[in-house]
Amino acid sequence: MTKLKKYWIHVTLVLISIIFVGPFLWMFLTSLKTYEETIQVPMIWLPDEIQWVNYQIVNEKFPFLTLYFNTVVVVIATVFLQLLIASLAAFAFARLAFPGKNLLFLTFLGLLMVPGQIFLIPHFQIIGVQLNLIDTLTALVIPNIFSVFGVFLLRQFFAAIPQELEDAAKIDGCSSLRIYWQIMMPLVTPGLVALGILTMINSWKELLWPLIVNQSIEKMTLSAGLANLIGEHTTYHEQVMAGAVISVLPMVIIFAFFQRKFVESIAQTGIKG
Amino acid sequence: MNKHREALTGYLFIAPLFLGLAVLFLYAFGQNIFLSFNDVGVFGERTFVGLENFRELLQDPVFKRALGNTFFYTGLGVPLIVSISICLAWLLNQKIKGQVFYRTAIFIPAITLPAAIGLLWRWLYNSQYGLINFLLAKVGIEPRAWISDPDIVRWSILIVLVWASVSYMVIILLAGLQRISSVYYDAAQIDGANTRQIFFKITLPLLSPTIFFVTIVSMIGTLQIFDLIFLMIRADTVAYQYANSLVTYFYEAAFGLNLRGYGAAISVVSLILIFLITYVQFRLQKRWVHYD
Amino acid sequence: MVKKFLAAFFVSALALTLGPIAPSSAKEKEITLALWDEVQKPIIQQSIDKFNKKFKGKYKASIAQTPWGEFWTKLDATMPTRSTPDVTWMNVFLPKYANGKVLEPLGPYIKKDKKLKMNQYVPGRVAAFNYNNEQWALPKGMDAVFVAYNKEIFDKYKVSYPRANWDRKSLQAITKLLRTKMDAAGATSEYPLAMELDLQPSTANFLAQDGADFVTLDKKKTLAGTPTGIATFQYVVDLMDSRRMAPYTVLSETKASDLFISGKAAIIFVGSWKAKILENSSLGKAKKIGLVQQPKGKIHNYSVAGGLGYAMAKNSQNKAGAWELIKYLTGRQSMTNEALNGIEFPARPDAQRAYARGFENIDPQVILAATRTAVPYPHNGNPASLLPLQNAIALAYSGKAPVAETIRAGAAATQKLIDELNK
Repeated sequence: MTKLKKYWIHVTLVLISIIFVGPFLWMFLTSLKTYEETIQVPMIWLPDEIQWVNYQIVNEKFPFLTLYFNTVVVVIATVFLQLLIASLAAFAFARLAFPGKNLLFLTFLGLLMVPGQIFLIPHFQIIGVQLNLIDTLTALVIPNIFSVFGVFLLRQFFAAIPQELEDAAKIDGCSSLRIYWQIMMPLVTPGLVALGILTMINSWKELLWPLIVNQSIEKMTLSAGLANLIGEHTTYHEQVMAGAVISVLPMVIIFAFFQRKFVESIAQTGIKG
Repeated sequence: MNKHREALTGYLFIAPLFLGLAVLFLYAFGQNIFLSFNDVGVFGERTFVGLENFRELLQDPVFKRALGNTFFYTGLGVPLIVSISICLAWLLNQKIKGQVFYRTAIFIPAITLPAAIGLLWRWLYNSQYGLINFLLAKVGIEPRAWISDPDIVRWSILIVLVWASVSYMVIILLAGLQRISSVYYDAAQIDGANTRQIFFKITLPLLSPTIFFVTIVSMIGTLQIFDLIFLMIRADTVAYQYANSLVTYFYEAAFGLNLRGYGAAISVVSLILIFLITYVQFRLQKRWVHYD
Repeated sequence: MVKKFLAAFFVSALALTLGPIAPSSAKEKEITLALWDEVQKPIIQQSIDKFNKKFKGKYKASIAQTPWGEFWTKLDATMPTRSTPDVTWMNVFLPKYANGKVLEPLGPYIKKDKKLKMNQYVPGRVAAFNYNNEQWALPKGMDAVFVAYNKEIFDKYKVSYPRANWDRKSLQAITKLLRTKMDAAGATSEYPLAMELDLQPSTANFLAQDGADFVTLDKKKTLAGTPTGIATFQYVVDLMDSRRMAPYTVLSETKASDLFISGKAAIIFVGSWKAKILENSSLGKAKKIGLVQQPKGKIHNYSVAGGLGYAMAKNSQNKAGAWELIKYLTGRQSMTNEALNGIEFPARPDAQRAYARGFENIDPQVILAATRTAVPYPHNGNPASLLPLQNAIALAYSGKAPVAETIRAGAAATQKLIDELNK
């Protein structure tokens, strides 16, 4: 590459980085102002005095520690149960023969296309009302652990394992359960990690369902908790921004550390759509 | 192990998934269809109304606008998201200094909660105190009411949608680029191909499976757009009606106004539409996606 | 092996943290109070803390705050279930919940309770929560709408302040003068007037003052579509069109109080629930905020007023405790505290005097006077039936549709829904 070309690539990337990061810097600056500074005319870039107290106020109004704890619990539970259920089914579809297998598989394929939101009403009926799980973390986990997408992803990984390995295990008298757990699972680890990360992101970002099924702030995830920051009668912009910063910062730090690993894992998911 | 035993094992292995899907999706969908033929009162009392909900739906101008808007977000959003993220991924895949910095910067929106993104842009867009109008004024552009002027509100949402989605899709595409073996590039260079030829003749075709994946994911995402609209625009304003998507309208009807039967009807119609679109996409993929 | 161990660990951890709601083994019965206002929450929490101390070992109350935008959605979803809050704020929406049979009638509790005297509350507020000959809530406070103006802006442009006995014509004249002077000074992003889009602190007052009630007192009619009503809407639209009032777009994303405090609006119509924000602003501290009653319309200048109450859920699992909490929060001590903190003008005379003491920078007497003449907020308690009219008003204000036709059609649709309800 020529020097000039490199120069232009840098210029472009710097501009793009500003577009992607700039808003977050603005968010941070706003979070350090007083309420009146946020609506001061003409606009000011920096506060007169840095208002760390906004973070304290918003933290008193919203139990961020609880919200984080809830989110972590929900995410871990969702990822773990989804991986377990999906890998069991994926193993069966990839390595076992049983009547009706293809038909079942096609039915599941159809479900892949269905947007989750259309199930909100019946889910609220079943999980919220009939199982009486309104205002519980369990209610947040249940709808997300049955992942058709996960089955598709993992099936490819299970299918790629050489038949000889399975045959050898069978000769040694291994049961299907042992083949699945002790021999196959370690071999599909990259798939599990990739699915785990995707599930993690989706479950971390989910907004609509937690908003509907849980009422008290103590049982909300970060996502739904943040949505609650907008009050109708008063909105303190600086507190809203402080709350947003609290939600962003830990993820950015984690991501900065694991950037490479993260990209590699995602790479696994795009293999064949 | 005999055949029967293997079949039994197979059923047992898929049983948890099957039971979950049966209850939470098949039964749930049945219930949705059932509800769509009913008028459901605020606190759950039901009356059968036949096709009334669907008839009302087809005459409902707000529903039509929501439908049109959803196509707007998908029709413009998906091409923009996919093309911009391909370019960005290509730039980020160049061997240059500061790569890690650029990557982290561009990925930040992808790991930010949509709720936080909505709150942030709501504030950036504010016509009175927002950063965007402030910066535009510096270069002599008139201030605009980005998220309250009914005529431009869809575009404002689209911008944020693209901004947030590109960030995520770049990760996947970047990973796809890194999987392309350098053998192809070396061969092309020996043949004397220039950068543009390499990009269009080698990179794009080899990347096509990933591009397809990204297209599908962004399509599903844009068809289901909810968070940004919900968080950026005040629900009882005219602008909200002009930005409404199928899902925000569904939420408004089913949970905001408590018209569960009507909401169920919206969801049934949306499902049919989305199903058709995805089906067409899958049919079309054979024409342009190359698996090696 | 490590994996297996980890897996087992996660499963058991999950079972522990997630398991279906474990019955609390504590002796204290929990009571949840649902409310929406983040400004009031910390002050009410003080009363809750005192309540918990008083009933230590018996009841333990806590607040579940949901913002206004989601509040009723959530309440509707949970009230029919066992997860309902035990006590909730209630307002003019009462009939919807009373008819839906999700509220506990309070009549029997009041009769049984020897210490509680209903005459310690303002009679009008008690009546507001009496529906179908049953008492459904105990009143908390009452509110009123008044006008605040920024003396700094008036002084800068040399315009004289609104007088105590002003009317709609003077409002028009003052805003016109301000607009002219603002434009001359190049201050195009300043506005003479701003109002919230919510009807309560704005248009609902104008309608009542002109005799074209949004909903009549007997809850049977809307007069919004009458010629008088349409003239009122036209008046507001004209204000916006001539930029004497902040336009609809600006008001859809920015609160009128933000515009006022940042010096972008010279006059605002404001509800008493925001008085404390004015008091604490730097504009207020500089003694630059003047208060005055609303300008007189065709008939009077009275404010429409609502007020909150505390109601009990029928599905509450702890009704005795819920009743104690309702009594405690509407009691003299709690309400005096709320008044002192300026978050509520109490619906009980023995706590009202404290309210004025909470203000140093703005004149509380104007607010008190507004509550004295206030008329009930016009509402039929069924938000869904009013929706067509509200949508029509929004559309007319946005300039997206002609005023008269839109309002007339919206009012007719709402009237039809109201008639169906009253059948």
